[in-house]
Amino acid sequence: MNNAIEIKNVSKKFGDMKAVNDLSLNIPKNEVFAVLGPNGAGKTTMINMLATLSTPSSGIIKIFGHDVVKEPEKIRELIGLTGQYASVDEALSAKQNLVIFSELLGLSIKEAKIRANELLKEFHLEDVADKVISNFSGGMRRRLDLAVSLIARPELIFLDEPTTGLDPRTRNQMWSTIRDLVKNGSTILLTTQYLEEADQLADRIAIMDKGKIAVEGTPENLKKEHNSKSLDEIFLKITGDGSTGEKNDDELNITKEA
Amino acid sequence: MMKTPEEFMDTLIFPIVFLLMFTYIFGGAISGSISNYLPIIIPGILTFCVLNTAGTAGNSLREDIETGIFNRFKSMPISRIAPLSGKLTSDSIRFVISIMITYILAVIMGFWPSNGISGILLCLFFLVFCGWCISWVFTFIGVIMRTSGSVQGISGIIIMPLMFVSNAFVPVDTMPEPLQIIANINPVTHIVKATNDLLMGSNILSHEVLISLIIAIVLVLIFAPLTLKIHLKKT
Repeated sequence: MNNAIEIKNVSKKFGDMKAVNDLSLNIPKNEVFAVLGPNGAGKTTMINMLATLSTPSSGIIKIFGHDVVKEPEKIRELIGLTGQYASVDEALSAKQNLVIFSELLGLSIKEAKIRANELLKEFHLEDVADKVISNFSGGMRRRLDLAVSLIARPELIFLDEPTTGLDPRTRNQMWSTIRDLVKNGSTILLTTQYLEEADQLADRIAIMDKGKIAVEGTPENLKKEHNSKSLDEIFLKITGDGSTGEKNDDELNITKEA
Repeated sequence: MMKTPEEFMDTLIFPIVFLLMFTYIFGGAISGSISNYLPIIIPGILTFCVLNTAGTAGNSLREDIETGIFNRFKSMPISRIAPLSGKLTSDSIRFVISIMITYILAVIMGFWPSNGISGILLCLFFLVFCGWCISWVFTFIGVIMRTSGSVQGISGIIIMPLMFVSNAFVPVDTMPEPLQIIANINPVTHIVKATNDLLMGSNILSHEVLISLIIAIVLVLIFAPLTLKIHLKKT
């Protein structure tokens, strides 16, 4: 079993709307896998199902061989989730947040403090360790949020749009943090709206649109297959204005737009 | 609490404003004199404080859910209900504060319960427990409503009639008969009577105390599982 995640024919309905529509996908271990897609493609819905926050309407999801519906507790021990919104306690300092979440995960107060200091160092947050989060910049907040997800050294890390809303400099910092994580052998599934981000970080990419995986492969292969120089073209070809006209027309439109 | 003292302003000021207002505005009209009104109004205000504080639980939970922190809790290998009940329990400090403020002000205004310090302490435990239980009702509203504004609105609509159609501020027998029936089955009436018994009754463990505790426990048994179920379903 070399897959960290196996998704088989999974759908998620909200009323009549299918946010995820018959999606199948395998994600290998020790890779960075990027799911790329426009707003509303179903990326967050998919992550939420993988992270046991919601259950699929149909289909099977297995994480390291464990079924997400049948063994959610087992899965929660294996994963770390960083959502789109920084989920830390605003009224506490960076260090207090790390200590509290460490204790929640079963570390003793002493161990929690040691782990908190390790993470503060790793994420370059030592200088602001005792500052209250509500005074943090967006980038610092995201880094702390990521640090909190890594307390238990999860084997699989979900990053839901980790750099949305960050300025280019902080985005670069975040990228180098993510690259360091891969060196430590974690499997990372990240969703993003930015093609550059996927290109920079991911070993493999899937482009998601309207609840489905449209294409999947390594960035190089995708570029080769679609005869494009950049992922941008492929992305727009698949997601941009695809509702009307023939494929050829779309390609023409895109060339004009570009 | 130390980090966000402004959140505790309402907990501090609420009992002061209402105890002073009710006593000095209505005291003379309802009971003939202020000193006669104090034994009626103090249990009423204590209950009002508890209900009002419990009512903030839904709102503050909604705000926390909106920050995304509950999604993090849900993705962690910890008990499903712990983040919810933990929040309510840490919020219990609010009950203690508003009850203590009411006591202190009541004493300053010339009220001393015949059961003394032991009555005051028993009453404190009783009210904090009831408040914690009642909070689950508002936590439930917190998870079913979409915005903290609507949570606040609904909570207010529930609290106000419950408070006023009861013996909290006036003797029930001055109301029209249909209203008396409602007032007498109103859980608030039982809690007010129980509070009265604990502070001033000859029999501290009166049946009103037992009825109130049963009501409180039933509320938890109904609303805690419901809240948890809906909370886990929604993301």
